Amino acid sequence: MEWGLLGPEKLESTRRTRTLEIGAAVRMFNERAAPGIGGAWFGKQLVLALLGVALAEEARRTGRKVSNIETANAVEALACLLAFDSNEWNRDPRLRGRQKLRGRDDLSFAKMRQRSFYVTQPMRMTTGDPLMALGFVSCESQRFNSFKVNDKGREFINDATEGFNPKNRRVSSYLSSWIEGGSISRKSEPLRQVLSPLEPLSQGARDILREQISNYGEGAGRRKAVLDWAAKAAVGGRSAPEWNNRPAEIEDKHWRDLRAGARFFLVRDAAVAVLDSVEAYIGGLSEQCLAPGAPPDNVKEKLDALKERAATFLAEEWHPIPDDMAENFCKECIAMPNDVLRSLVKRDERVLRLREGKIVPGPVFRGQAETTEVDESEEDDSDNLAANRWPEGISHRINNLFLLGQDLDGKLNAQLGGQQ
Amino acid sequence: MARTKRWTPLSLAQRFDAPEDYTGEFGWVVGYSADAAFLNDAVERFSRRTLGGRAFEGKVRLALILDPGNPQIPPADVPGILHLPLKAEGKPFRLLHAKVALLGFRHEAEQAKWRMRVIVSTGNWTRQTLEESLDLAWVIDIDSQELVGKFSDELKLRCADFQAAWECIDYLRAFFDIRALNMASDPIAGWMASVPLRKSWPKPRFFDNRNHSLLEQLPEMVKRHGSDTARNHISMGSGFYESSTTGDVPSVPGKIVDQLHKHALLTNSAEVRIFVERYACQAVASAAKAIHEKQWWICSAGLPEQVFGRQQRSLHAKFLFSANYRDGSNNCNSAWIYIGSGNLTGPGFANVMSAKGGNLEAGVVFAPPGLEWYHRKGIQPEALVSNILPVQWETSIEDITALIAGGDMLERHDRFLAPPVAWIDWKADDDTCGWLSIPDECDAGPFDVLHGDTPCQRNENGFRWPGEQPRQVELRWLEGEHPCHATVPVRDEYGLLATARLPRIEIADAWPQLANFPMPPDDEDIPGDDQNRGSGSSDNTATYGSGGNANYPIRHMMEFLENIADKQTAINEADWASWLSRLEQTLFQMSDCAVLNEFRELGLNPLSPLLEPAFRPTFAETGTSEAGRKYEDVLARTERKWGVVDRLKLGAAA
Repeated sequence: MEWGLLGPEKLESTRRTRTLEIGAAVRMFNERAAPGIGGAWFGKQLVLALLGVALAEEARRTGRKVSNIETANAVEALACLLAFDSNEWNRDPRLRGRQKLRGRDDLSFAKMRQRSFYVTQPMRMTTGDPLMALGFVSCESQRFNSFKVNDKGREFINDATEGFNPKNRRVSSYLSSWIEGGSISRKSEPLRQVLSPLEPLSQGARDILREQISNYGEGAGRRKAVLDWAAKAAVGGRSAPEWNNRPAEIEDKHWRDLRAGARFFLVRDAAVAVLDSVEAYIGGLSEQCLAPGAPPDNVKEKLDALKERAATFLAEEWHPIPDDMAENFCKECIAMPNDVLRSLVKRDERVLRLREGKIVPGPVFRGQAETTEVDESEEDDSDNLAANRWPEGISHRINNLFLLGQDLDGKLNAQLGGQQ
Repeated sequence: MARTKRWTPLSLAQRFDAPEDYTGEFGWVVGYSADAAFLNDAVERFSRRTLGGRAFEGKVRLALILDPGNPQIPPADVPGILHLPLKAEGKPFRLLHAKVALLGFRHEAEQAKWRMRVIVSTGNWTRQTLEESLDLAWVIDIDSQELVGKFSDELKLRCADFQAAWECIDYLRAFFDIRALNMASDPIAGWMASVPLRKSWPKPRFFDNRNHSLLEQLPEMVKRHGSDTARNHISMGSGFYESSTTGDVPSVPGKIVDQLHKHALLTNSAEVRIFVERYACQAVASAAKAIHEKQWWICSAGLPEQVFGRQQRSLHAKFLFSANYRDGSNNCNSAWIYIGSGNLTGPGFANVMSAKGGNLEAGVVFAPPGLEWYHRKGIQPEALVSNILPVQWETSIEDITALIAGGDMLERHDRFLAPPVAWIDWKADDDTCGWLSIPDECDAGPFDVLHGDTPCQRNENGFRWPGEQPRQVELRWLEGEHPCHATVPVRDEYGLLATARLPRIEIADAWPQLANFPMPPDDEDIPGDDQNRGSGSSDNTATYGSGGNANYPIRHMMEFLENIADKQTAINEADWASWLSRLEQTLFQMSDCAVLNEFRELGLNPLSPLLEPAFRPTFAETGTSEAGRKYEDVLARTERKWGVVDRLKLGAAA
């Protein structure tokens, strides 16, 4: 028998992500901005994910049933835990799981591979595209579990782990024995150094990564252009560039893609703000519903802002997304307020939904604006870092690639305001 | 600096966590209200399956019986949950207010082993309980392994509690529409049948008010599970008290004290403390003067900093705590506790269940050993009474103007009534539309299926659905003269409810869907569910090399079939039906994959090796067993779906 007060629990907010059925258009704009870079913004993210795949492959060769995903997640969890141990459990944008990992004592692989051990959205989830696009894995499908490390990937891992010898063993051999059931030393300094996201990549690994970003595959040209532009932007004290002043590093078509994308992202943000304002309004009512024809003043203001941004996007002459996906969304946003609300809510169906002609709470409704739990957020750890260098609304991948460039130059710690 | 470890009891959702080595198989959850946010959390912990995995699986894990005033929680909002509607015949209670769950877990490796859990809660199955309110729960487990040995008195008591809770849930089921539950997948009735019940054994701690009010039963429950000593202290707490305009002492707390006096379970000079939510304590606010005249104490609920830090929480728990206090001793002597759904109001505590005036309430009375009144050095956190109940002895509310009555409990109309059909069957026409038909099992009156606000056209095939397979549809029908709406799950061609639409897949994507069985695949291995994935992007398909797929069709296919054989020869017979369902689903999804197209061009049927005995588990090696026949049926249907029925069999060609 157990009984007594029930403990508190804060529900995750990541499930509230609103895609508004424009996810494909958003991804395409991001892809045009910085092809294949996904959510990666510092090199260790790629090393840890790749190391996970390599270890899983090795373990499967010896007959163990482990997947790439669970192995890579466990490696990342271990890396963050060792890093937190070393920074007295302070927040850092490069680390996740501050809440989940605290107080964990059992570091066996059997325990760490479990889904409940670490955050539900590890950094690894944003590395799938870059590992493929930068040519570190071969795969028969885009699923992370189907990845196999290729020669370039092995070279990258070797350069990143060379010279670190926990318990006088090579990193891969030490971690393989952990996967087979061996213990792990939480105090091992070489292990912390090689895994911790707070520690820089070796020079050799940085060189390989830079080469793959700038020269591998068909997206390399745009990635290199952004990297060069970003390097210039890193020379401090500069305000964000104007859209009518294209930097020399970026080609005209690329620049137009960036501008159209930025304007589209601003429309999306304004649409989310409309829905947030409706949610907050409904949340304060005893009968939680709203007729779309009678929005309160606060919602009307947000609708006006949305209309203005959608009109700006539509006035662009450059619309690179197929099937008019982005344009159709923006056209819906400049209709009569009644129709705009109805179509936005129909696209949402998560926080708000339509029932019998009225807007009512959906499954993840809260009735108030909420703060996002930094620990669990998907790709935005980096969004608040140095983001004010860029024109408003620009794809977050530009900033990611800028930070990645800083990492390659060994300047990431300085950029983040931390200490070496 | 040494960190003091904070003591944190489990949250209500964490009480659904499957024990180590077990997985939640099926459970009943009864309550006044629930919401999708809580349920998603709870059912994930229970089943160890994420939202995407549960949507893929299409299986009901928790059946939800709520007061019919709670709006429907549509099946696709919380995959794995089925919210059951009230039948048209009506209900025997004013409100369904009891908050009880009976959860069944199966051992992952040894399928015959099970464990069950009863949760009696004062909190609803909502986000508010997790994040905002102060609530209590009482939890017991029972394990199949315990029932093979000697029965201790403690085990006998747990058996009695399980039977009493199950009897209450079983009674309720009759008033709700359970047609959509596949009874074969509900093992609880069977497991409960093996929990013995003897007349000579102890009576349960669990009680409800179907035949007698909680108040009437209270003295007997206290004597039975505590002792017949008169105690000199009682604390009472409730999220609601009755509204009053007369200024008299609220009637139910008064009646509780009277009853206990009458049965000599409370001394005449006992200390009486009433714990309230300062800003919403209804009758206590207007009666504060009369309460003080009786020399009772009015106190704010205790909020142990150990548990909640500086967070504010509002009192929702309903409890009674009575014990003897002796100078010079820190022990709570002869302590007993009531925890339950019944607020200290007429309908909650003093009335028997009835359609007009009495809710259905449930709770427990038990005698916890080892409780202590005050903190002392070295005390275990869970032994301190103010750590595990929302009580405190430091302050009382002297300034009665500080109390605010707050609102009354909101009246709700019954909003979720049983629709004419409990689910609807899907048959695809082509990729863009299909038919929704009335299941043979349902004898249905007239209704509309709505697409947006428009009723779908109907003919002898069923309702024409102008789109891809929906997970659920909205029905509209008349109940008397009142138009009613409800959402019902769609049953797909594999017999699964409200499953996520399954996209076409290539052979490389097929194996990950099967490899994790009986767990669902990793979310990231379920194609087409962009919402649950990171930046993995469907628009990149052309960019990165899938190129090798069709190059070696025979080798690829053989590898795939050997993986299947390897997997299915190790499958437990109890899991065979769900394996077949997963297998058929995956093979159907591959119908247009590049490797298979190569086979069709070569005029080959790749499925034939799977018929070989070596590729099948012993219990399904041939078509003479039921398991074997069902397996062959799956392969025959797949051959038709793949269009390879008359082609040369692979074994013959190779």
